[in-house]
Amino acid sequence: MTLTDVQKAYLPMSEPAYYILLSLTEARHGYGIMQHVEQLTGGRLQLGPGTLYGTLQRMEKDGIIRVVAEAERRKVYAATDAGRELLRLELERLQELVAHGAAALEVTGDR
Amino acid sequence: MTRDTLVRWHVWFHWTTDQFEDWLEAMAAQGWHLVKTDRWMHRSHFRREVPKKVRYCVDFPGEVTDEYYTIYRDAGWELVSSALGWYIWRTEYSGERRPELFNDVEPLIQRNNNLVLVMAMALLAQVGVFVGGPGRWLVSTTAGRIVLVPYVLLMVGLAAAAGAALAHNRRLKARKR
Repeated sequence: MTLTDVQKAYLPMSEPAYYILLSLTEARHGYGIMQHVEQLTGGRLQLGPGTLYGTLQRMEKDGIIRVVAEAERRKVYAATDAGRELLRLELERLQELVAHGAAALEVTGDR
Repeated sequence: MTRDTLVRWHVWFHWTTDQFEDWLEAMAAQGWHLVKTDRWMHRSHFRREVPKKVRYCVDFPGEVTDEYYTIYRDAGWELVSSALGWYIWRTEYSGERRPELFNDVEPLIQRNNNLVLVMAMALLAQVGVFVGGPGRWLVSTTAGRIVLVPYVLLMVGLAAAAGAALAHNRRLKARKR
């Protein structure tokens, strides 16, 4: 399997980019993404608005996400098929990392 | 009678925005809150209120849409001033965690590296100037010597700016730890 240029540019994903794209498996606006990520990570990851704005601009331009609605001057975004494929590739990569790490430390799977 | 307004100069560059931000934060901690800036953001107007813990951030976002303002405001930031594509945002905070516009400093480091590259190329191009004809003209004629002084100053300024941008990167990397 060969990666497209867009996939190459995004992989491996930074933690903010990963969580932003993950949030957009459901339609959300910017602030909704921030809240979702904060909730999901128990407050550990707070997205900076500069990071969020820049990432959304770039992902929209690259066709990873698209605008599905607009309400009160807030764009609502959702991951495209290309975005979902990118997430799947990243998840595969992460699973491999976890498997290797767990094996090295002999951590059992049910811990 | 104590004054309740203050005007101060603080000249800053792309690569010293962090020091400008720290200065604004220190002013707020003393009760001086930024009202507006002028003179290309190098002069700040303050008003005295209660001292507060306020994080100031200077941003250079490039392309700006309505979304830019909406996302920053929704995240709890207030726009204080903007000029020439630069924006000053602030947000009050408490506790140890200092709010940031960016989760990682990589974009800022990249911005500095691009600047250093441009400055280094400008300096390198001067080698060509000296090896070629203009070098002799600059040192051997009166008109040339008059041009030489500001020219050399400009080159020294460029080199100093490149050094300052690299120092900013070291500060940014230290912040990451």
